[in-house]
Amino acid sequence: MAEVRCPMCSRPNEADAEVCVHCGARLKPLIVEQPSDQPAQPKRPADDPSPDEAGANVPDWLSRIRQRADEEQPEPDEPAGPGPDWLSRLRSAETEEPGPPADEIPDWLAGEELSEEGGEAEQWLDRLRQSTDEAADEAADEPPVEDDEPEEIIRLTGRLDAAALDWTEPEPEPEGEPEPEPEAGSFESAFADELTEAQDRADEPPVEEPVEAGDLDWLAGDLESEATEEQARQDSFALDEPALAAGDGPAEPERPDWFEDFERAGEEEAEALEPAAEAGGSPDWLGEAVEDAGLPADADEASAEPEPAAGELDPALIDRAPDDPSGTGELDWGQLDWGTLEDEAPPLEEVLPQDLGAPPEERDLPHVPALIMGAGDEGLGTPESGDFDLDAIELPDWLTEAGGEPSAVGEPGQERDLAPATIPSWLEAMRPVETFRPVVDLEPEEEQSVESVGPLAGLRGVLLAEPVVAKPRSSTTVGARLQITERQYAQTELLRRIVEEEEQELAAMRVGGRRLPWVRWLISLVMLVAVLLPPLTGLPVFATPERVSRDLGPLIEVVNSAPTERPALVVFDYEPGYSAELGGVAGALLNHMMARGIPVVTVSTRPTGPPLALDLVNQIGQPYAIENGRNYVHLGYLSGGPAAVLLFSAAPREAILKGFMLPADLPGDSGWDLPILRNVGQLSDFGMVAVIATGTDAARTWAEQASPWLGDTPLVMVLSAGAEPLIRPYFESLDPKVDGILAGLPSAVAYEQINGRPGDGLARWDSFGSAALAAELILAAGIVYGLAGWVVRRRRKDG
Amino acid sequence: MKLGSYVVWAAVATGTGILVLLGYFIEVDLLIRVRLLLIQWAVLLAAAALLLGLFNLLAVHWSKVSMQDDGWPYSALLILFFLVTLVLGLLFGPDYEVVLLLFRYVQVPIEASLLALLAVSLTLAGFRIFAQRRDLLSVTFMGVSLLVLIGTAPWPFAGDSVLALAVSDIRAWVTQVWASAGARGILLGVALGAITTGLRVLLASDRPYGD
Repeated sequence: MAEVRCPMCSRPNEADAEVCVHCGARLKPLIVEQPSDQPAQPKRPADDPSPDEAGANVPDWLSRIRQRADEEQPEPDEPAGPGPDWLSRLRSAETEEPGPPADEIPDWLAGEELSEEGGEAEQWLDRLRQSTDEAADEAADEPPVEDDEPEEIIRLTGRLDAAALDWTEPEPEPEGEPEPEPEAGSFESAFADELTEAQDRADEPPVEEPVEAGDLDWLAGDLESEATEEQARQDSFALDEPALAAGDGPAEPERPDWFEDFERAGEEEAEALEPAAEAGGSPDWLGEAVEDAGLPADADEASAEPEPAAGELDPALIDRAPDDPSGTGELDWGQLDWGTLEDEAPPLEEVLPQDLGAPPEERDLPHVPALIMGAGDEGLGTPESGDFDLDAIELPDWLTEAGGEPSAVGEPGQERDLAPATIPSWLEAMRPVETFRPVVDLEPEEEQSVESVGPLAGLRGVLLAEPVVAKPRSSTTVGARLQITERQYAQTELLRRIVEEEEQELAAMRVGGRRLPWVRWLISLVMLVAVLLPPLTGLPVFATPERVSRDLGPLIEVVNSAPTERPALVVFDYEPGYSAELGGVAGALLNHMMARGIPVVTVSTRPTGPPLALDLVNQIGQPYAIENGRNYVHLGYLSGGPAAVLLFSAAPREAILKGFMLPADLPGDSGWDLPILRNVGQLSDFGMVAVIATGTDAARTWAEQASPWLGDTPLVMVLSAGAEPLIRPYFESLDPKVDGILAGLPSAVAYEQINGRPGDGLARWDSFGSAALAAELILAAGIVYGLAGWVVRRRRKDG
Repeated sequence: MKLGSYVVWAAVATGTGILVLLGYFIEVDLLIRVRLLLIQWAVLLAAAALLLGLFNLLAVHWSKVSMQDDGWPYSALLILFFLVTLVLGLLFGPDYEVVLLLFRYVQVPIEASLLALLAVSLTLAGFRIFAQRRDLLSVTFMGVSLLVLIGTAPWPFAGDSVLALAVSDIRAWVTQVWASAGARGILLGVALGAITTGLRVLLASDRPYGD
């Protein structure tokens, strides 16, 4: 079975299918190629219905034209309503002025006639002369006949068809080639529709569109550009005519296209008149339209009102043309003012019916597919390719009347016959939403490149693939927006401020008077006086503590129970700065121990400890006539921190090898060789261990590292008042690591009072009390000063 | 990670720690001797570290003097007396009379004066504290300070009064209850931190000696 592939979708279809069953594209061209030997005549079958019957197949736009024409037809006698001015002038000119003689033809036409080889030119010129003569003879006498088609209408119609065909053809057709009948729904009418639609869109102001502007904004640019191009084409065409007129004119071998169209129109007119005369009138479709429009259907009637036919010029324009030097009334084409003619020509929207500008779906016209096999090369042409001036088209009154009404669409109070424009769904889906380039810059056609290779060779304005891919394009995005975090932004701002501050000139600093820190000096002076006053003056005198601390009992018990044959280890782990406090506190303990005759062995984990021990022991032991090496010995510095304490606790002799300030009559090389240490091999061999410390670290180290090696040897702590709270847990626990605590000068004074041996603690008691009292008064004064200032500022602020 | 060095150092640290730790629980003569040996090595290392610290101190101040940085004269004095003391100590021993003289009449008064300045500074800060801020913390701080100071220091008169005894008791209650409670919390935290650190070192999860 033979198949025909659809040119659009390439799918197979049956051979006799008219349209593609898949995509709906027409498979067979509308314009069927005719044999060249047959004249172009309207294809109307024998059983063609009458005009009334054919009215059912008439398009809506034509029906509306007819209806409108019937309604506005004032009287049947009048052939046409008031037309445009140029048309009125044309009518009056033809009736008043005879025009060129019928038997005379222009020189250029005569030359053209002579140049014609065949007799076809003579025939159509003869027919033209004959029709002109008949029109001149019957113009004043005969009334219009309704049943006859006016000759002018026929000529105009034929000229329109010829013109449409002319500029739609890329190349001029050979003479004698038949032209198809311009029937409704044919290619010519469809193209005319498109042309009118484009003209309407270009000329109609956007504000008169019944559609919302926001919905069709994206189309506005296209319409404007299309209208601009259309206007440019018309301008170019209009400019071409003077160029032709400035040439040799009639003697020019190349005549204007529109004149060739005119010739072809004449031929077609003559050929169309023959069957019409035989059938008794014009074709039914045209006759019906003319009849509905109230126009004279007879050619004789048309001659009564001579109007400029195809190829004929407005006499009024001819009057304004340069004077005829020959005086024959023949036009000198080279002297014509083409610009004036261009201006006098009515716009297209006035001569074409408005319905022609309606969408095909509204006009109920059959859609013409974009691609027509066989006919595309002949009939499908772009308007730009033809030398056709839309403004130069002269249309009859019925078309003028029909086209004139929609011109008042924009007037308020009048409704448009057009349905409100709605965007189809498929077009709505294709509408661009947002673009950074709302207006697409389209190059003029003249500047567009011509495809040189491939199947599209020779076409202009073909979308090129290479430039799209290879040419650099502007970025579709505005630019990469720098995305930074708030922290980065803050750092950037900080850096910016720093740079700005560096650029700023620093103002000169005011050198103000320096305030004397009198408060600091005053407090220092008060404290100094308070400390020095008691020893210097003996005043004030502070009472010694009457109450004995409960911590002194265990300590005194430990010292009293310590064996005198075993030395007591005293650890001096405090800094020289605390010697004023701890000297007095530790002095009370040493005084008690020496009073009982307990040998004292000193050691220190600090480099400054041995000299402190040396001085304190010498000071305390001086009343007891103690001797170095016999009543006391200094082992010196124990380096190594906690590890050294652990080592000393585990193996004292291995931790300290020699000693400090050993007596000159030392029997050996080490302090361990002295008789006082002869029986000491480990920590538990000492009678007691007393740690004098200011900080908590040294006290904790001895309590933690030495306690496992003490055995039954008691461990007591001599501390400053500030370190007492941290050591007290070791003393008050269920398994106490510390057996006694002596902390602070008050406890030392109480200890001395209990022992009955006043020492440095009691000697410093008044100074201690005086300085503490001064500090108390200063703090109280500070509290009063602060509160008073706050109240004063509050009152000033409130008042 | 270099497996060899890591394993060696971790094994040394873990083994040493375990041996010393076992010495607290197991009384074996060999174990005690090994532990004492390790502790002696640690003491030697600590002494060497102290010596390195002294050289580092000398280098830093020498650099400041050579670079003429701010306060370089003080660095020069430090270096001078450091060298003098070091030479005297190395030549004549730490119990040399000149060294003891320097200690008694230079170092001890200086350090005692610093603590005296601390007492004056604290008193001045207490004087200004109410002028700078008057919030609850400041009031509490000043109240407790005054209370402990009044309860500790002797009264110029009426030292045996009921008020003085009451203040003394309040002071003892604050220092032996509130302060001891806070101190115990601190000690417990230190103990837990020490245990955790010891276990981490024993398990080689914490390697202060490096990988």
